[in-house]
Amino acid sequence: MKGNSALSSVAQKLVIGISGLLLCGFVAAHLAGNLLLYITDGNYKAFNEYAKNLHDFALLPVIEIGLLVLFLVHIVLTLWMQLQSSKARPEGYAVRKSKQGRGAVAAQNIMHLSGLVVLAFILLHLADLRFGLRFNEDGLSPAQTVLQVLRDPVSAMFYTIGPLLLGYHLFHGFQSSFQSLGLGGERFMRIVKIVGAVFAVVVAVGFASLPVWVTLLRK
Amino acid sequence: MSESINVTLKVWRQSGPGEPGRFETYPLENVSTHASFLEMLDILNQKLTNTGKEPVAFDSDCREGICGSCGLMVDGQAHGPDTETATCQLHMRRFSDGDTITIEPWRARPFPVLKDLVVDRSAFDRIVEAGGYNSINAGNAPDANAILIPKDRAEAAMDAAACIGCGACVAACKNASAMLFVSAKVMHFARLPQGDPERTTRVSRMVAQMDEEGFGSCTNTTECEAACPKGISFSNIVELRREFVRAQVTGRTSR
Amino acid sequence: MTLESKIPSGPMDKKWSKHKFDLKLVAPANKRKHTILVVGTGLAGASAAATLGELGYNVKAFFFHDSPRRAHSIAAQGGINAAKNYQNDGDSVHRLFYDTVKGGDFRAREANVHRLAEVSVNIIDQCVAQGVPFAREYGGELANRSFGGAQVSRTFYARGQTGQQLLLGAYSSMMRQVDNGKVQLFPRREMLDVVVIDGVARGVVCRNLVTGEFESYAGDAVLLCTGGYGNVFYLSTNAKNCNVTAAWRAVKRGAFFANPCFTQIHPTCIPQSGEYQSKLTLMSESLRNDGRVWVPLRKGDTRSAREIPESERDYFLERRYPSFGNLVPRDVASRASKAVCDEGRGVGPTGLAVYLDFADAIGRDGETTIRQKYGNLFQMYAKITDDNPYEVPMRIYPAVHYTMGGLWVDYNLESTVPGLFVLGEANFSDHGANRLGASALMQGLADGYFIVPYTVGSHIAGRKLDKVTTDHPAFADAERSCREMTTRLLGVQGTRSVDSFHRELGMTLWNNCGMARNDEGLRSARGKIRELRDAFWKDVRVTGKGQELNQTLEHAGRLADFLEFAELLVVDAAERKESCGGHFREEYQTEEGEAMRDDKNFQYVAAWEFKGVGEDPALHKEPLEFEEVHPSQRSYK
Repeated sequence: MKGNSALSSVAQKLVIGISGLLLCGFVAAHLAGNLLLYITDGNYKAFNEYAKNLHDFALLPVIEIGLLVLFLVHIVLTLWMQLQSSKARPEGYAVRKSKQGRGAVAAQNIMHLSGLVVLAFILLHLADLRFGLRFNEDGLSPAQTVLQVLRDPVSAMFYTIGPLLLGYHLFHGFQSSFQSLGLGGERFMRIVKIVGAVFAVVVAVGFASLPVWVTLLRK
Repeated sequence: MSESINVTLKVWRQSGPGEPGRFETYPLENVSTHASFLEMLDILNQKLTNTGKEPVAFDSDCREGICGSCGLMVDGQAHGPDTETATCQLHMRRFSDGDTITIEPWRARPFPVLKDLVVDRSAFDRIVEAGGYNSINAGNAPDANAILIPKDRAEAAMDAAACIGCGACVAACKNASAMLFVSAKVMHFARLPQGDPERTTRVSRMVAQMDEEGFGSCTNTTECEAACPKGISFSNIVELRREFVRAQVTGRTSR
Repeated sequence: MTLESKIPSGPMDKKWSKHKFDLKLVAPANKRKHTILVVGTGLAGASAAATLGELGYNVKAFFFHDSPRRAHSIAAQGGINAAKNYQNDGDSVHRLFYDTVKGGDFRAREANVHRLAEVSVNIIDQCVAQGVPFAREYGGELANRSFGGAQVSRTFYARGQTGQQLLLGAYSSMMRQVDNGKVQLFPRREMLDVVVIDGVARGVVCRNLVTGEFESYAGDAVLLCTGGYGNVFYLSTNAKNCNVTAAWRAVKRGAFFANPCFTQIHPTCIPQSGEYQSKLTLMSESLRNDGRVWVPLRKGDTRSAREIPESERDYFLERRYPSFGNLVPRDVASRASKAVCDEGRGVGPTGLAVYLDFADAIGRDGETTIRQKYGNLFQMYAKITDDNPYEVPMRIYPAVHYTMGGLWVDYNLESTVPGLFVLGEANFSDHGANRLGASALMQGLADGYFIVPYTVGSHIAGRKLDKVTTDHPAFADAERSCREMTTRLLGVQGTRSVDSFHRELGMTLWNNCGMARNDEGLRSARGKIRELRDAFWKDVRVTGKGQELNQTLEHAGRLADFLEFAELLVVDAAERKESCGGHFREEYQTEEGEAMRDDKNFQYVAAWEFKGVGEDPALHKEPLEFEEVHPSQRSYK
């Protein structure tokens, strides 16, 4: 009698997909908040109020822990699966070529790499704006803190590349999550693919536009 | 189009399971463009034999794209550059004079190389053994028309059942995942009323066996679908997951 | 020795039921004490292994492929017949029986054929229950098509992949028994000898094709389900590895070989394109439902097909056989195609091809309809030839496809060696001198699911079978002789490749024992085969070692058997001085060039006993009696 085991690769992928989609929701909310920076009226009143409300929200620690768990699950499981998969082909091919006309760096093929770069960026981002490890001047408004970070040319570069890779990650990740959940017929999948692509572009452009705007356009 | 071409072959040679292998280079002249890829290898083997060298071992049988025996990585593509084509159906007219062609075996831990280009695919049989069947004894069956099956449902089942078990999906997948193979078998049965009684145990057991064999996991790159000589759709994988979730939530998952 | 066919008494339609009752049974608790060795896992082998496992026997299944699913049954395209009469078009068990006996040109055993027609209906039920996705109508019921010379629609099909789906059905049932621990698989094993102890088949010796080791297995019955010998012609529609080895080694242990000269040449194959050709590809017979076969009226007409006006075409099948037209049985269509090519009216670069034209069908039904019906076949044709059959007619030519001859078996499918059963294409019993389309799949599954499970039980219950293990000296003897042959093949160290000998053998047979045969050609062929066999053993070059995966050695062993068997094939063809079915002797034809049977002198099964390599085999005749269908000249006019 063959084949009885609990946490299968399909279940793992399902968990990765669910966590990925929830993180997509977080990214969308985060982006919406960030875009308030473009409303410069009243010395970034909109953004500052949003930030204050968020910080004062009693359940914030719970949400933060939830996010941490989501990230950890998403990352640890993915790396675990990647490790398993790399064991599945101990000896590689001398020549490889996609039949879908995709290059080796297509979004599908480097999810773990784009994910790791995004992770590095997120760590930097947390260090900067959650824990204030690099820039820590007292008395600045949330908006001023952000602008201070983004004004630094090296940071600006990281804050541009990070979101772009995040978009690249989502380009495949968004639709892939639905597939991992077993959702959709062929028509639904086509729609998800388009929505995913639009979402990826909006996320990438939305986040990355801020440092560009701060560095180049805003005096 | 010229009638014959000269090619250089870079072929993986390995004397036995677990032995170290290497690429050997063989020039081959005046190959008719009407010859199939495997006939080109026959010509190479004839030449090697005539010069006292050992011919290249490769699996092939029906040579009309249905038995699933043949399967070579040709220039980094499973079954070569054509779509919906098994290696035996690939013809030399697809290549140009002066081409160098790299030929490798399928590579995956569950498909160990036995010799040169021959691999052991019995892992697929063990997956089918874990539930890829309807439990019906000979003599037990009701009249064939007793259960009507809508045409589109029968056709959808046939689409999945067309899998020839060649292993190209595994070979082409960057993770060496067998999900397309497994999903084709699961969905073949899931789309037919006759497959219903064992629906939940089948998907759970086959997936578990797939994992146990050491295949990698699916990350939805759809490269398997592009490599499949029978055009088995990636949507089978998505539907397998639905089957899987349904099994975990509602059904028995073991026996 | 007299051949006992063991046909039960009583009326034709009661024989099988009566016989089933008369067969001895093995008690359920005792079945698990018996081991059955099944060689080959095509339709016959996989279905037998599955069913015997279900009954409770311990089954060991041997096959030379890497997986049981690769067996050549998988390549059957067109369909499977069954007397379901779902179309209400007048079909019945009796009509299927009648058509098969007549189609076989009255050289099949009536009782076997009737049983085949009877169980045909159960096969479809069984396959549907297994999940075989047969084609269906919009209302959900099963679809049928008419096939190969039948005037009713009784053929069930799964696109152009019926054999694949049926085999996967049988394979999945067998894998279920593997799961249940009742069937044990032995992949990449080639059976090289049958071990006979006290006159009963009690085991096999196999070569493990990966390690090169010889392995012995003991059991209480041996089932050979090892297919046909079409590859003796080198070029055929058979898979590359199909061979006669298992059957031939059984012949050397006392099994008789019946009617080897009954070989089927299929009319619709893709013509040979060059010297390097390794095999021929069949285009399903179903294409003749819509395609029209023609050649130019004028000899040596080099115009392209579309340039030849209607008035200068000869639709020779429609002309010669107005009532069946393009749908005449395979043997008739093949010979007619050969005749027009012999007249110099063949087409294509070699002149060895006729057109199969779909222009009228596309004009009538539209390209979409034709694509739906035959899309995968057209695509296969285009891949191989680089021509587009929607625009230019296909070029086709006959090729060796199926072998009606095989090991002689009685009504129980038991050979002249007790305990050695032969199923499917490997036996001779049901198709006479010509097999009708869509009947091979039916026979393989009938034998495996519904016949042998009963008759094997009777063998086990009815004979005293002492416990035998592989320690018995007969196993060591058999292993030794297998090892010696391998050593001998590797020891020749000559200059010519195995393949070159095989091609030469094939050419000799195709030219002298193919679609048309005559006494002189057959005599000269026998001489050539002997010379070639001598040359083979003096000059073959088998590279590599015995103790490893060595495909050249495998091929050499199979060819060595073909070289012995080929002689029997031409001896049988020379002995049968009549024309019937696939066996066409030029000396025996009507004025119109149709086959002329000689029922007075040749209404028998020729069962040949092996007397040694190079020795004349001994002929044993099983007279054929026809109670129900009276022999008449087959007419398809």
